[in-house]
Amino acid sequence: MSFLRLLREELLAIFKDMDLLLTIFGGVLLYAFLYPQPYLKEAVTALPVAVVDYDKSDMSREITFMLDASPQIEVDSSYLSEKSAKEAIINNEVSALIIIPEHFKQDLYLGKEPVISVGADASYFLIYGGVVEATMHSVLTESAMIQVGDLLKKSVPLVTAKLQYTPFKTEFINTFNTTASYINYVVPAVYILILQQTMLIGMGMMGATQSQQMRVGVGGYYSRERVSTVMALRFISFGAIYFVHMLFYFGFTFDLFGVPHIAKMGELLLFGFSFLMASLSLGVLLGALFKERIYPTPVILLTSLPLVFTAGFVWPLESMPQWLVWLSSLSPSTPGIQGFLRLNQMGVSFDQVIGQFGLLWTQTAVYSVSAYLLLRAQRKWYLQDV
Amino acid sequence: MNYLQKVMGAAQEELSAIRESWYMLGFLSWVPLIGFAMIIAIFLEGVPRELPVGVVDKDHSQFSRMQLSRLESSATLQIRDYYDSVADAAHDLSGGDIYAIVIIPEHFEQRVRQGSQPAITVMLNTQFILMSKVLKSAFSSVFMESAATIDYVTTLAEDERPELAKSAVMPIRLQITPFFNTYNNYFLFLVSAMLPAFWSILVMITMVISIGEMFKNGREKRWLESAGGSLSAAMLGKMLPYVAVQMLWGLGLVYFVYGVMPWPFAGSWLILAAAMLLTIIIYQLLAYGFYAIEYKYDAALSFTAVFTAPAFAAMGITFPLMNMGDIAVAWHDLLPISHYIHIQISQANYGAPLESIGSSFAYLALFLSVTPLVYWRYKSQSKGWM
Repeated sequence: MSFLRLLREELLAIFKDMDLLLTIFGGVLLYAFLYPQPYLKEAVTALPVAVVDYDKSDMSREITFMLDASPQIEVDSSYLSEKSAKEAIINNEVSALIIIPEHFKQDLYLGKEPVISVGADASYFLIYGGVVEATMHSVLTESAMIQVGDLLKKSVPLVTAKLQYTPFKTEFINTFNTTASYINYVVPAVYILILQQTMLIGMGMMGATQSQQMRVGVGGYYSRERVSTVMALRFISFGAIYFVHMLFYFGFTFDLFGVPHIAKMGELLLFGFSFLMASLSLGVLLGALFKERIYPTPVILLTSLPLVFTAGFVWPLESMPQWLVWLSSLSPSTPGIQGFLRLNQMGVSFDQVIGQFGLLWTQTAVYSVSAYLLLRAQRKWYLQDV
Repeated sequence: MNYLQKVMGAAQEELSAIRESWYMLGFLSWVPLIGFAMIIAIFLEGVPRELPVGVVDKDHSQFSRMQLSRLESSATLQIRDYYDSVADAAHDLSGGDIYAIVIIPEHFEQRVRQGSQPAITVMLNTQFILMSKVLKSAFSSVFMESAATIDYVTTLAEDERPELAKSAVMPIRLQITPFFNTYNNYFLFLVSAMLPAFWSILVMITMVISIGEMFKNGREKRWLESAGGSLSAAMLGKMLPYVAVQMLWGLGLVYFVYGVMPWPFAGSWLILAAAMLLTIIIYQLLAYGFYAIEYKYDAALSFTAVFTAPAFAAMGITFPLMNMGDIAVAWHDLLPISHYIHIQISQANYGAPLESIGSSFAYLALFLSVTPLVYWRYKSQSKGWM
């Protein structure tokens, strides 16, 4: 049979399998839109915060006003005591409380360094960080800068000033994802994993289905043609589908959600091709390893969470046990995520992802050779049986 | 045979089905064990340490070296390399070899002596949000401490140029109290939620596998007979062994985080166990329901995978729920584990009274309303089994 007719049979086998389509098209499309949803606002804004003002002076009101003006928080002044504000935190009505003490203004004039207390639930790091950042900014920068000038002239002893003087400053510059947007942080990496996992499930199901059929003596192009031909068909069919998926993810949905992509097109395609080759090889191997089509979905599903967090973009590889780093480098998603982030988010030149590039091709070689040997052994085994 | 005996009969039948299947045994024993162990191992360090950073020292003075040796003494970071130019360092920053660059400007020491407040510049790679946050606070505290020890500058401020001191003074002090998770530890923050997320996926997929394997092996008749012909007793009995095992896993995980690890658990274990039990039952009901969409094993697996895979992202732990859009909130609400996790965190942190977590329980209870529909789907099929 000609190669094109075989390819038609391969594609028919894919497109007639509804459960497989549900994953490799349904899952891919659904997650493309669903996954970025939690992070659409990108950064924390307008967190409800209780401000308890025991001082009730013009100065404390001014600080409250400045807090309210900061983007991260929205002040709720309706709580009159620390106790009621704490209860409000427990009841999820506010996420933090800020207390301006009694005699705040007076102490400030006397140079007594009044203390503004901030309390927030640190179980939710982003909320906690947002509140702390906003308060620091409002209280330290704004208030100090505006008020202190004339305060000092009047009454604050120079001793206080001396103690607080900074001989040098520290300036922080954010590079890449400069707004610390969560969408730019999570989405580019998780997309890679979605592509890989749905592909592995699909290829696992397809391979397992065909070897199941061979075992019961139902033949087809997958048992008649040479193993290398069948593998080539699988690479081309799934490769083409996922190449389109990849363009859709990196082109369309990145734009839709405003994720920057700064890699050169040629380099992105070259790296993407390498990532696809490694995933395709693993897919063929898994297809040969799974005995039944019901196995791939649960197994691949359960690897997703560990794979996200061993890829090194959330949690530093330096803080992980070495055996986990090794284990995670078995998955194409690990060098894939690392490489794509560097190329597309951080704009490095291709020679800086050469390590990841090399790992992807090592995986390709090892997985496809193992798959070939395994499939050939299975073929002999099944055909003897029949 | 009374109803209880019928339920127990079906439970017996399920136990013998489990005993005969290495696959189901695996999903109840070593599969969860490995998954949980990996998640724990990734984050066991709790706080990132020795993150590699680069240094560009343009001053080469005794004073700049003093700052650098102070940096070296911080546990959070280690100086991986010294660079001659910012461009060289930036190359490694975007390559991901270092997470930050510290730049000490020319004439740094001299300018500190003159009191002209030079700035140390720190460039952070904000694509890695967590690492850059940790580093930012480490740099701030190191440099702030260092600045405070420089006494000749303060003398200068007092005697010669007091206006300098005035310009930088901050007379208000800020006291920041993290409520709960006072340790600022990522293990507690991430793992305490990630383990239940992974657990919820297991609870549901295991139940789908149990139902699917039964129909695949044609045991549905035996199943119904073991419960004396009562479908509801058969359905309950089938759930029972898994309820027991998943309760053990669930409580074991929470005990690991709050009992074995040094974090306090402030609330009631009884409330927690009740929430856990309810969550298990809901996922099992959903498993029955998902299977009955098409009465097909592999379709049910695919639906379950699509439904449960993003559990962790939608929980509202890494990104606050109140900043999510409507679609994301709806998605959060649709996942039973989201409601469970709010109960767990509020119990662990401050032993929230029942009325404040009532809404989470109500949400969970709402899922039970699918029971009649699910029952009816099986009832209409069960006639064909006998």
